Amino acid sequence: MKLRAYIATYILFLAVLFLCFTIISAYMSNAQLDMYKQKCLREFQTISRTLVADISVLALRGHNLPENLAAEIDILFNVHARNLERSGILINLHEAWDASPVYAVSFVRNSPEYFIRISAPLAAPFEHYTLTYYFDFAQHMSDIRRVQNVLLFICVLFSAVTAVVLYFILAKIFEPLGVVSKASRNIANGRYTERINIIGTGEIKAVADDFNQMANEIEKHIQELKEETERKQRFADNLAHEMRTPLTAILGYAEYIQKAVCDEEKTIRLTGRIAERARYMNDIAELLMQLATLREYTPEKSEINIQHLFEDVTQTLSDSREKNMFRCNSNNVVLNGHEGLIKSLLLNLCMNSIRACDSENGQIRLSAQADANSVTISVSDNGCGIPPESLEKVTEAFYRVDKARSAKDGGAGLGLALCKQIADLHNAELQIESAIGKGTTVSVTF
Amino acid sequence: MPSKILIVEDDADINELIAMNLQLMGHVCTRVYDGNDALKAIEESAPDLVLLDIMLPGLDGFEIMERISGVPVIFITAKDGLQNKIAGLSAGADDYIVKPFEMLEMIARVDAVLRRTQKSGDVFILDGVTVNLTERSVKKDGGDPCLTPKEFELLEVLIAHKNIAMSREKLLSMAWGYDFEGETRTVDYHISKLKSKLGWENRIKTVYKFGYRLEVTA
Repeated sequence: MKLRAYIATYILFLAVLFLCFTIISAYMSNAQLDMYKQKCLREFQTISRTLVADISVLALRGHNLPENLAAEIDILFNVHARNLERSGILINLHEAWDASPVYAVSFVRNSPEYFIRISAPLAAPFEHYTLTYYFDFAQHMSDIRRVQNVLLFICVLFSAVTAVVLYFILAKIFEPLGVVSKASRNIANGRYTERINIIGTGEIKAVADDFNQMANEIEKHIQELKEETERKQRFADNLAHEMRTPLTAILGYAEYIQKAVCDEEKTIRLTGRIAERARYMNDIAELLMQLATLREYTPEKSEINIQHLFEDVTQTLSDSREKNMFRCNSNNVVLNGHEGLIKSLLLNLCMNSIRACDSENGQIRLSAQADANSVTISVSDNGCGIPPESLEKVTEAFYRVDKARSAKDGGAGLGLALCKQIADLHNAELQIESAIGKGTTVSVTF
Repeated sequence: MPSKILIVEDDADINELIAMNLQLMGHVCTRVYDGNDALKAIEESAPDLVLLDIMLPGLDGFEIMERISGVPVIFITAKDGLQNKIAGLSAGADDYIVKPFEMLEMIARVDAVLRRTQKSGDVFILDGVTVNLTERSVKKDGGDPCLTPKEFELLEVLIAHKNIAMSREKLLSMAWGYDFEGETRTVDYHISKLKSKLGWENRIKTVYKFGYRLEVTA
């Protein structure tokens, strides 16, 4: 790409340069030749006039005999010729009766000699004599050639210098393209953080900006894909654990009853365990179904009295020692939503809070607040809190802060996923604030 | 020969299940539910074998592995996949069991690790019958009951799975080999021979519609 541009530019340059050179040198040599031609012509005319004057004098002297006159003219001519030869001019006179009375100017080239030849008849009454004039031009011609050669040499030198300069100019122009291409290769090889830094304005800068924007998009998408994959992997791992642990117990107990010696009491105890584990799996299956179907569900909304809802929820949970943990403050807010789903959301949040609190000092506050265009319900506790790195993930299905996923302090990790889904269905926002050891506040803004 | 086995598993049901099965084999089990207790128990009781769950509250299985040495360990985990197995085995575990596992599989793996790591003379004594599993010899009240090689192999399988009912198919595949194309009646025939030769009519019990069980009171 770069080489091709270089070669094309250089050829164009050479073509223009040598065209100019040819025109200039042709023009120069033509002008010079013209100049010499004019000069020779003037000289020829002078010689011609002198000869005519001299011959007229000879003729007037009365040598009427043509033979004598011819001999006299010959002698006279020879004197002139000898004089002129010193300044590089040859002349020749011969009789030609039918010569046209025109100056015939021509160049005679008889290498290495080079002549300007002019021939014309003398003026009347001696027009039967034709004078031919040769000017030795070789010296001047070689001067012209030398000038041409110097000019050519300068052109070649100039071409060579231009070749180098052009290379650097193009290299400078193409440098940003090199940067862009290197960055593209890096991105293609998976280094998505690669960006181009080009200062200035113009097309290259615009390309660089577009490129960077493209790189941003790619990086974002790749990151999203990565997170999505990780989320899916986590979901699969957790689902596997959540299924396998009870299954191991169920299979194990069943096998034991089948193969080992069991008395009645033991059999009843073990079958009870099997039933309990099977019910747990059933609960998970139901929650998963709920999550799956809620995604497509349009809730039927009605006016819900939050005060009643709070009482209902605390009543449901109050069969145990947790009863006096709850403090409710509904501000008589009324909410428009699906009563069953909102109750399920609150129940899940409350159960999470109960698990987070120790039974002696635990306090769980349910509160509701309404302003001009939104209603916020929040559940806050003074329990163990959620570590900051887990905050983003707690609404993922099967995510549990406890990596060991032990059964004693929690369910399968589906509660908050369900809450998030219910909030989404109501176009509500679920926010979790938490500090380790101080407690957690979950608020849902409708 | 009873061995001391420590079970580290946070799921109470699975923990109990493993213990119940190993007790059938005559092993003595200690049960703990989290990583810190596991370390304490390993130091205090020096078990012959540790069954270790990887995902545990407190220290996890790998962290525990780093802090103990000289104790045979079998990892138990719900995480399947080659990568996890390699991680487990390269951490120094002797074997690896994936949940959900079968009782027989777990017993076989525990037996294999114990046989490898213990130099116990494999002698089994019941009702005047002495079975030397290393020498492959049987004595009944000082005399030789003259067992055929097949009968001895069957006896070996029953002893290895004492107190556990073995289906006829399982017995056939374990004593005769997986590619043996015999009928399950072959098993019935050899079992009745074994019963009468050893006088174990009350020891080898027929489990209705299933198979046989060698019953040994623990």
